[in-house]
Amino acid sequence: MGSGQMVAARSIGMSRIKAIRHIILPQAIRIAIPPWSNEAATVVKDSSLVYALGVAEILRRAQFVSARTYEPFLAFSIAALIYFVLTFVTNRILDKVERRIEIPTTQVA
Amino acid sequence: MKSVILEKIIIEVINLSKQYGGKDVLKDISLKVYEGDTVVIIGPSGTGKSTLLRCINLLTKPDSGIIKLDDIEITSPETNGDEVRQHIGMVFQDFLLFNHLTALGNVSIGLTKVLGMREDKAKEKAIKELERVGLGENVDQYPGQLSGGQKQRVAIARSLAMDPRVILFDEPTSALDPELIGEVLEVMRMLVKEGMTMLVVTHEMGFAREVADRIVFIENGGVVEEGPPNELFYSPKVERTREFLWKIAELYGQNQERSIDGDDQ
Amino acid sequence: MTEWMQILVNYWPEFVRGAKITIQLTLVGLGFGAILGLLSALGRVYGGKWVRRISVGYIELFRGTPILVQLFIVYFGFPDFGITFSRMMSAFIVLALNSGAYQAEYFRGAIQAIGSGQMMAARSIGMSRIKAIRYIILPQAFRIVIPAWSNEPISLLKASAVVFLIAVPDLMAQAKTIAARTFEPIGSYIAVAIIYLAMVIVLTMILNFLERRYKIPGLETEAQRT
Repeated sequence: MGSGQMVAARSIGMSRIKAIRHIILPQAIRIAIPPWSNEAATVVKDSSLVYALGVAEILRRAQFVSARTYEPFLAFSIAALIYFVLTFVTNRILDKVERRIEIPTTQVA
Repeated sequence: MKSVILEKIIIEVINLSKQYGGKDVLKDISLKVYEGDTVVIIGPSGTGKSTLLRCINLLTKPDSGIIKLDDIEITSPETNGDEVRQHIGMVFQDFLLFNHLTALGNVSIGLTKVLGMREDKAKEKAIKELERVGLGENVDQYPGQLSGGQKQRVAIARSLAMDPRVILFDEPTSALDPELIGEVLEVMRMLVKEGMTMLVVTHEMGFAREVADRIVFIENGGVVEEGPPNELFYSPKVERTREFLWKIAELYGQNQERSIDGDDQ
Repeated sequence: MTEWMQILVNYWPEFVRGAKITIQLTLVGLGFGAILGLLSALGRVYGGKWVRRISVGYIELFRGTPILVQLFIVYFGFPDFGITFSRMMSAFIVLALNSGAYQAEYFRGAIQAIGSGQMMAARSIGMSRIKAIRYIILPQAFRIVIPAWSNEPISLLKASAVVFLIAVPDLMAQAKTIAARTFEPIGSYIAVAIIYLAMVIVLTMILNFLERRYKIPGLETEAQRT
């Protein structure tokens, strides 16, 4: 975002803290959301890894289902679908948030 | 000024039309370029002039109309666009040099990969063309290491290497720093003297007045007026032409003087 | 807490065996993934309607679902259809497909960063689209993509650890085995973490070298200039 913003803020008499609070952070958040939404999606998917610890999240449950129904392909594919929907929805929500708080014509290079 | 009697027509554009998003960019445009001619296209900024050039070398497909190269219709569906483009050179406003190749590489790649020339022969020819545009010393430099004027001259050499029937120039100096414009115009003047057929879109009025055989004023997708420089600049037939040129002359007053003086070499 | 050093020394041969498998998995996944990724990226940028749709579909599917789930579908699920892959084979297939999807996005970014002007310039000297892609676009794309793409080998190396859950004897699997044998879970896992770290460091050095070697003179991205 540039040190220029801080300089400009201070030139109208803001203290550093005020500058960070009213000028820097509001802009920084808007810039950070697109890459952050990648992170959010990744975390949703990585939740599957707690399977290794025996935590009964989606993947573990899918395994139970597959063991009980002898339909592993179906069970795990449905699990995949659920994850896909979760990441998709997460991305969509973040897209909407991004658009809502977007500063008009702000472009990140 | 060359005599135009019984000269061969290299490029003929007949009733060319092109729309972009519902807007008429080119409206029934017709144009003839004779062998050895230098035709300069002027007009307000907008994509009409660039579009015209891109239709001529078939990079853009026109909506209707016919284009002929050496009397062969190149707008027919059977035409191989790639082949046609071997014979029509194009020089772009933003140079568009291949960044991963040296100046030599840029000029020789068309020879080796398109015309199938042998590496050593291609290298020879490429060096010759680069020397022709005054860059014999820079053959092994990359575009990133060259100035704007040098880049554009490499671009011209790249086109020349293919021995084209005609070279299309799309505002070749518009992206250059003022000091570097001269070296490119110098090369272009040289080509005019050597008899290369050229179709040039430019804002450089001094250059146009000096070397053009004919000037074509295009606005809103149509030809407003065309004629030899003396006519167009000093006694234009259409009021709009007079208006446009007057405004340009104001803005480019310096340029006109520069090119008049600059020729005392 | 320093048991890890002991374990590292005592069980070195086992760790090496596991590391070899991990490296194999990474290389195969990276290599085949590169081919898949490149084809998908080209398909997505230059392809017709259906080619584009298939490319996007593949990319979204494999980036939008966890790698572990993909692994389970291939190893546990495919036998339903009579297609049985061994553990190793399943791991290779899934890692390649998964990496391919991510690499496709890196390649696509690079190709688009080069700009349509290059394609136009190439065609203006008579090159066909294919020749232009081969001699003008791709050579530049490969150079430009290196900084971003270098995330992928590292990412893949770390992600490959999940295959231990289908009992592939990689480095992670060794950690589990040795933890059980020595009753020192912390020590074992720390030892393995250190080996992974060492591999990543070596990988990073190699990638940095490649980046410097294949720079196009005069054309550097901001990141490369530092």
